[in-house]
Amino acid sequence: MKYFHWTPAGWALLLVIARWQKIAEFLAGPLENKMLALVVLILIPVGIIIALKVTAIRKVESRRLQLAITTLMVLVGAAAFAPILAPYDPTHIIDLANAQTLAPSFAHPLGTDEFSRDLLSRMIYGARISLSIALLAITLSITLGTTLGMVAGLTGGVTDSAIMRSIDAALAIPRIVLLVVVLALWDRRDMMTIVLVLGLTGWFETARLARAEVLSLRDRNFVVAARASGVSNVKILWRHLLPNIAAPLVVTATLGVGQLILVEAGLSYLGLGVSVPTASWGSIIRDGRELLFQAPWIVTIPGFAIATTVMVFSTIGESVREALNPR
Amino acid sequence: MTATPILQVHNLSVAFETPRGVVHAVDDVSFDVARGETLGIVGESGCGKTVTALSLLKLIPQPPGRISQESRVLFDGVDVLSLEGEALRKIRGARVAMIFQDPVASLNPVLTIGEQIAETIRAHKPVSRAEAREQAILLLDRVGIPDPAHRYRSYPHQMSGGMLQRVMIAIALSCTPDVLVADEPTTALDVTIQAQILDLLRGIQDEYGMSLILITHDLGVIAEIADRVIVMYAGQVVEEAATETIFSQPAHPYTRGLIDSVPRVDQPQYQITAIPGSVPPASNWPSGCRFHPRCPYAWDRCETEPQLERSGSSSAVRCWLAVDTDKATE
Amino acid sequence: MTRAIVRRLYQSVLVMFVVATATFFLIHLAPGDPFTPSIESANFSQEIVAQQRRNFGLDQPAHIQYVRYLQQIATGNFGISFSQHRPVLDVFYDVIPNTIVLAIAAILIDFVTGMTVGVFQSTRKGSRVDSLLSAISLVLYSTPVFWFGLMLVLLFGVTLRWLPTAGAIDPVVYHSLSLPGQLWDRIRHLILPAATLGLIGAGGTARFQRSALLEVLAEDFVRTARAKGLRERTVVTVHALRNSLLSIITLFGLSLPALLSGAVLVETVFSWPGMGRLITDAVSSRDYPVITGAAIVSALLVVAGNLTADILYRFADPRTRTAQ
Repeated sequence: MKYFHWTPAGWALLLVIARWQKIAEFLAGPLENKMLALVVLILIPVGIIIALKVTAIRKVESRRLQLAITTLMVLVGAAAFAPILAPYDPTHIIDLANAQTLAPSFAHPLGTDEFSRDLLSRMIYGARISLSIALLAITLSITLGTTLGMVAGLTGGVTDSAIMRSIDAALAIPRIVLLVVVLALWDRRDMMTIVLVLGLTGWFETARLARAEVLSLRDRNFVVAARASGVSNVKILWRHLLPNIAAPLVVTATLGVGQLILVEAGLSYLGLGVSVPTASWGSIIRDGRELLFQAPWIVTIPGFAIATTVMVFSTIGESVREALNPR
Repeated sequence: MTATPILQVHNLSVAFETPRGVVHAVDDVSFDVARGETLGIVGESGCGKTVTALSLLKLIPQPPGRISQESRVLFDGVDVLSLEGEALRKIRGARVAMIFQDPVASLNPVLTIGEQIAETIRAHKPVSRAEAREQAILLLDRVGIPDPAHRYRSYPHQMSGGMLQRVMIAIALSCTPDVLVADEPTTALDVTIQAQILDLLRGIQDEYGMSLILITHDLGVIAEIADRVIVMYAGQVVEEAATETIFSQPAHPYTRGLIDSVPRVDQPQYQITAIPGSVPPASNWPSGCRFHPRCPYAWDRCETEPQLERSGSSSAVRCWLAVDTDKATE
Repeated sequence: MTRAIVRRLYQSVLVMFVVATATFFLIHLAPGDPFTPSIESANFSQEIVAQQRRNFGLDQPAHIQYVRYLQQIATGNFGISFSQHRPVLDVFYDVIPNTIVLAIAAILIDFVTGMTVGVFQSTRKGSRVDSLLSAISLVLYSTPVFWFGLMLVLLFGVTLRWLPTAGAIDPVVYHSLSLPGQLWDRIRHLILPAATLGLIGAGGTARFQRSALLEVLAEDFVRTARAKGLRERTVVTVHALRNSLLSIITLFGLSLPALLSGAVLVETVFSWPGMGRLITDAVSSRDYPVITGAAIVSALLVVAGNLTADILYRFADPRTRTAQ
């Protein structure tokens, strides 16, 4: 209970009281929102416990890490409970005829965009898009990369060279260019397409890592022994190798989320992200760039959000790495 | 000996701050080295020998290392530990030189061995590049490297460990130091090469008349080369005596244990006995006599810490048994 | 040595071959084919589309198409741009020099700043300056490059009005300027985009340089260098820095794709007439020959850069240079 603080708990309680009406709406609303919130509610304490366990064992300097985890929880919480927290409907255009950018004020803490849409609400819903895309895509690419890398490392020979040369080629094309090539083929740009494309173009480095780890483990005694006693390749992968390479994969995944958020933001900025009206942080910046002078807050605020999120993931990833191999 | 020792170490204590707490690697170590003398420092790995050696030239990285306020390393009367910058630099390599355990790791892989000798010469003497190069080639010749002019341009990866240790010795000799500190100079080498390197060290010591501090875990090396021996255990000096005395009448049970654990070719009937257990981690020295958990003669008095008791000019021992036998003979 | 380089050369060709093949499959995976008129390209005549189809041999069976495609690529024929009605290669000739100028300027800013800061930090490890600089480089490393560009535009272009924020030259006055004047005009236009790309990269480079140098400073031979009585400056520059340079060369090779990715975004922000700008324009006009061509050309740039880094490394490291 060392990490339970009364102050944030009090704020949370106040929030619940202040927005009970929205909560009631939320509970009556679509099932998927509630499922998402439930999953996140379970994930938050699990994440905190794992991170603190890892760092407690190795006694890593953990003040920065605690700050990062707290920030992450706030972000994830905001994303999951967007319908409750957002003061306005992010897509609602108040009055098209009188639509105008409003500077930050009491009614609109972060101001509005050119269609008078509340920026704070768009940011909260944007967190949802940006975070879910990054998290889903990293899951896909880590799974794919680990599987292919381990297969390449364990089988060797032609399969290995084929996979590795393809990876060399894929890594030679700059990520954004590769994404542009793939996305230009698609007319649909819903969230699943973006996740799929980001995941399918993001597994190369993970595969290299997994292969290298497998190669260094392959000739160790416990694998040789398992193989000698007739254990199948699949079983060796699953039971003997995967647990041993899990740690570096967790680090890669955490750092990868940050990179994916940057890439997704870049794509959205180019107009290749999730299609309107659903805003991600990158597309809010895209929408605001024409108004850079008149309404600089539209561009400025999402940038801070992106940088903060990426920093959070970098800090967590590096702390975990430090905890796993101290020097 | 009446002349002042070239090197005097007084109350040297070194601690390291680690994430797991403070580690006292070396605790109140004192010894002298006379001019021209060979002092052996012996002990198992992890007992503070290397940290002692590095402290002599203030080479302990601080932080995380911390040398206590009371520590003094007097070289020719000057406290090396109080020196900074240029003054310290002028002693390092010029007056006190060091060679290390692993010659492969101790030489820079991207510079030729010649450059690494010549830069030492140029760091201390006002000579031209060409002169430094000539001197370096002479040094390579002196330490027994064939075809030195050609080898000058070799990179470390092109030479064997034994040859590289010769290069390290050449670097150490480049400014004819007063003291040469050799930290496990033969440990990483093949047995046949070990003897050659020891011969070389002995030869140059005679030739240059310098003092040699030889740090090793190998009593055979000590017997062969040292005049006087310091035995270290768990960061402390536990015994100090002339080499013959150490082998004929070891006073500390640890010294006895070390001697008994060396196989003797000349006396095959001798039973080899290993010291049970291993050196405790420096973060957690035992209380009382630090050796008592492993000591076959331990008794209740060993729960309190014995002092290093001097007897005569060059002998000392840290053991309650020795104190009592002294008293018994009085 | 020579054999190793030849092997790397052969590998690079293989990589380019795989890139070309992958691009071919991407074209064929696409719904319909890239020359199917969509809303954006509907205003092009059927003849051009048919000509494109013939050009890429899309009327032929797949394996013949593939061989023809490789032949075309190998001779530098990427087809004809839909939007500009001229060979893609000609279009590339116009924009590639601009991208290379931007990339080189950015690399200079990136590595000069990053390495200086990293070296400075590692000689003062644990100090307050070190933590401050670490924080700054973490922020830069985490900042979206296009947003950083927009912020620089806001600060230097809009608020302070010090520097131009769009294009590579001032189209109004450029041609009336003297030669030095023209050069100065180009430099002024280059500053903001190059600084954006370079400083964002410098964040990562500084972090890398710091840890690489700290790692080398912990090596035994650095202790030897100190024990020899060398000046601390010599220890750091001659002994430590030179060794950490080897990892920096590797980093240079690895960071090229990321740099070009960043260039695509930065060129969009600053309307810089380079490859990136071309690609994003090509997307909105569905100019598929330009997009695939750009992918192949950028891969070629990366492969060439990696090859350079690899050869540099082999020359810088005597262990590979003089190995038998």
